[in-house]
Amino acid sequence: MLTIRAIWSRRGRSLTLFLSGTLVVAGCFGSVAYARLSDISPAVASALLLLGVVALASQAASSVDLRRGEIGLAQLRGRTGPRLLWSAVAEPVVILLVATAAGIGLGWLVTDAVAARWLAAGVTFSPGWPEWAAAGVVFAVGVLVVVMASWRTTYETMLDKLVGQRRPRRARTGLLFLQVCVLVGAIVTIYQARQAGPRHIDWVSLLSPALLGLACGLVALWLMRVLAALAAKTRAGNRLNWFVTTRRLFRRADSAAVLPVMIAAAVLAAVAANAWVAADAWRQDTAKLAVGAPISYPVRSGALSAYTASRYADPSGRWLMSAAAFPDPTGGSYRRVFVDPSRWQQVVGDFYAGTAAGTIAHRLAAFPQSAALQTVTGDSVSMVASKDRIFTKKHDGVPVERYRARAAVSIFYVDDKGVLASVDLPPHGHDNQSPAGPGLVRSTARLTDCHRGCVLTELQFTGAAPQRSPMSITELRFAGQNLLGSGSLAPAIHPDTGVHVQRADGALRIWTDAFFSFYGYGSTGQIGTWPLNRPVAALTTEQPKLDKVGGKESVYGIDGSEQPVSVVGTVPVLPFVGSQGALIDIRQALVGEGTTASGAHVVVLARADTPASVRQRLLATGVVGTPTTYQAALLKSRQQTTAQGVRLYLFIALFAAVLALLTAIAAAADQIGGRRQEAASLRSVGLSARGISRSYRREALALAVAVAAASLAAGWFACRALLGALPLVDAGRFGLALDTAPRFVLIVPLAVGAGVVVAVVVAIAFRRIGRTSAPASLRQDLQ
Amino acid sequence: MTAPEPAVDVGSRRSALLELTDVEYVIGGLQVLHPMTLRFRAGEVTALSGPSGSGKTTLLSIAGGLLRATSGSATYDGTLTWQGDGDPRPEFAFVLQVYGLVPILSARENVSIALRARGVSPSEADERADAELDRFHIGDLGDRQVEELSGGQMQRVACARAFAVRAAVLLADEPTSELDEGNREHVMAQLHAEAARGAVVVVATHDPAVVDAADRHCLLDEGRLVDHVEPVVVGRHRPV
Ligand SMILES: Nc1ncnc2c1ncn2[C@@H]1O[C@H](COP(=O)(O)OP(=O)(O)O)[C@@H](O)[C@H]1O
Ligand SMILES: [Mg+2]
Repeated sequence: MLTIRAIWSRRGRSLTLFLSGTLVVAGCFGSVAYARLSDISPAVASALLLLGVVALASQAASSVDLRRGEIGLAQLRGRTGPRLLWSAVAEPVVILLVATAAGIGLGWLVTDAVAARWLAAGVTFSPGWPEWAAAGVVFAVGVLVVVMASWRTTYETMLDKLVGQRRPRRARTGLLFLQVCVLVGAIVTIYQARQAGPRHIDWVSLLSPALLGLACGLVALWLMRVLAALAAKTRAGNRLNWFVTTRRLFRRADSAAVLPVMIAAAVLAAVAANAWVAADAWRQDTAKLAVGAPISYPVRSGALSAYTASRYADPSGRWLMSAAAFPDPTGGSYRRVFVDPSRWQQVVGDFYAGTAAGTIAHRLAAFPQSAALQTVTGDSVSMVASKDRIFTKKHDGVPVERYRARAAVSIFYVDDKGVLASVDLPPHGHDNQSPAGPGLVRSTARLTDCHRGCVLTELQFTGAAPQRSPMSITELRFAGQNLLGSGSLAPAIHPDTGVHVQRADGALRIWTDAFFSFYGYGSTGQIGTWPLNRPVAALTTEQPKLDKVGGKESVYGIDGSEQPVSVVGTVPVLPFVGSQGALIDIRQALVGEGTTASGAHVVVLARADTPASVRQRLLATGVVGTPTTYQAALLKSRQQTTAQGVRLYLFIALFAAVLALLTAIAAAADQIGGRRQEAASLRSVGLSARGISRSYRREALALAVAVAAASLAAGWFACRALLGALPLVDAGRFGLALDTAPRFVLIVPLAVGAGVVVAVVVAIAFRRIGRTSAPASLRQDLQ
Repeated sequence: MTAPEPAVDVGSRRSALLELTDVEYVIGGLQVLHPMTLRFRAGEVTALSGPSGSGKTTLLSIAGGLLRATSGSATYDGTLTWQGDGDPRPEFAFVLQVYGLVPILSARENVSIALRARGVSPSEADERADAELDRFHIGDLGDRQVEELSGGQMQRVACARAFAVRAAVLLADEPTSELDEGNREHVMAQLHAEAARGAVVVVATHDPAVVDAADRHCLLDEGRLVDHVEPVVVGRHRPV
């Protein structure tokens, strides 16, 4: 009861202690809970715990300080030992107990809300033992700190306590030892974190930003005292305006005491914000590289059908682009991705703008156009060839057909569905044949599935023809296009098959070695191909160098065979590919190569603003599946454990910032009484109220500059030293590198913000003190 | 309400007068001072005695312009001592009962800042501060922060600070309460020296020895001026 009345009588002080306690407990409880729910090391809460301990220590110490007189009285009444200690600590301990309960409630609420918002659906929060343990640890540490602070007070000389006179505190060896511990600890944890790297997560790495911030804060504090002491000796520091300020700054650390916590909070915030921005930029880039476009339609039927479908649904080339990605067949990390360079800029150019891969658009645009795939569409195929020759022998004076130099040609092509198909000319049964001139006959066959574009792969000959009377094909129209005229067909010579081919006067002459085929028999051999061994243009990553086959750099082509490439350029990272692989011109690679090796990831990429009609047309081809989007991939990436970890760090930084604010307010509130006396004293000897206010504003400014400068330096250093060492992303060995450069756009505002907060708190707290502290208030009964 | 008491003229030697006319002070319904009229003249040490709570500090505060009388007025040299904000006029100096030292400053700085506030240059202020500390036998404590000093030492720093500015009006509120006999006599001698310089000196005290050493004496009780004693010898100075 007595304690409660005492708490109420000092409600200002009690309130800040209560709020700080609540905040630390809620933060530790919440972050441990969040860590548990998303599989992060709960050690991530250690940073908050550390700052909480420092803040609670200073507040508990000043709470005990306010009751020095009481403690002295209790001592005078003969209380000793534990009873005396209890009378000293009862009040802050009760406050801490209530704060712990409130903190658990707040932490519970926050975690509940956060779990519903950030964590995967279905994850609900019910506290487990780590959370209770965290709350317990904060309470225990808080009590320990209070007891230690009170211990000191109970052993001060009794008279000082009763008189209420403050003796200047000499830097106590214990405190000095702790400060040295913080400094050494900061150095050790940074070293340790950098040694361990982001793949090895331990509490040391997670604690290091807070520890580094505290250490920098301490250094800033000492530096400021040294500077103030030096300034007090200079003329400027001796001017009446600065007289009190410089002396206060170097003699008493009361207003500057908030520096370590404030700077630590700023550093924590800088690291967390940089980590978040760096990791999220990485996630965006990675998702971009992985999905390839705002929308990605999977295609099962191979690269060609993706290619033709994209061109069919979007002839203008503004919205759709085909791509086919292949993993490294050797199980390594080398990926080959075939893309359509003519559509790159239009479809994904702006999507990659600003990413590491953003610079490749113009390189792709520079790919040679010449060897591009020409697809054919149509519904019939026709051939004009020499008539079958019939060789006869007279038998009993009657010519008897002995054999016939019969020849047929098969055209192999990949159809709309990505299936390798063939059509025979003349068709079986000799139907659809009509005379086409002297000794010539035209045969026609129907084509199926060549509406969007087929690609021709091979001409095959079956039959027999003597060299002296070879078969001659004068025209081969595939879907309306004369293949013999196009020039792209290369006559193939395969002596082992016994089939020979020769191009003459726009016609193909074919004969076979053996001419003993009986009717229905003969040789079979390739007579023409659409050559695939032409080197195709490619962009590769800088590492590794490509294998050379027969003196030519080559990769595995779309159908899995050796594909020579001519490397147009090298870049550090490529879309789809990451840091090791090649981007190859699909238009060239598909020439004569319609089939797609298994294991390919074939897609049609689309812009986000692709019109519904185009999408409809694409879907109507039947080759594409349900699309995935970049946004969905990004969302998924943001659900990863590491992303939750970074988010949690932000959350902790927020708590630390509020805690630092509370500490600053509490520290300022603690000083108000003393400053009133000081101002009244100064006014009684002739200083003006305005001059005193001005000196307090100067002090606020000096503190703000110190906080901002130290936060800036420490924040930059912490980001430099630690961003690479914290587990921010799940970058595979060959994934994108995380950009860990400190971002000044984040660090500067945070540092300035910390400075402004300190300045504003100090300025507001002491704003009216000069004016309201009349010398007449210097009476014993008013103090 | 009691009727205004007759004016008491304390001393009549110099021209500059610290005059309290029908001064009354009421705070929170408590009549701290009943209306009274008093005059303090330059060149004399006036003791203001009375039991604790009789209103000595309040009277000094009104005289020095730190408090505004509920009614009546306090003037020095014809102008009001109350300036509207509770700040004293620069020609006034105080030895406050609670010393009113600035804890974060050293003893020397506490003295010199009073001089600096009056436009004295830093180096001269430090020199004079050291001289004043010496005057009260605490010259060796100049570098010490006042927080570290004993009560008597602080009281002497407060004296040094008030004496340093060579004020026209020196108002000392129980300046010897924490001092031993030797130091008390020394302080009284210094007060007389200030008066001899031409200052109006008023000492609030409940110490009969101090009253004895003063030129004049006013006795307060429960906010009333119950008695006043004229000096036997006009302009008497106690030996320093
Ligand atoms: N600001 C104030 N508020 C309330 N009471 C006051 C105030 N100032 C003086 N008093 C009261 O007036 C009386 C006279 O006080 P004071 O002048 O300090 O006496 P003295 O100096 O003779 O001990 C005391 O009872 C004191 O409590
Ligand atoms: Mg008094």
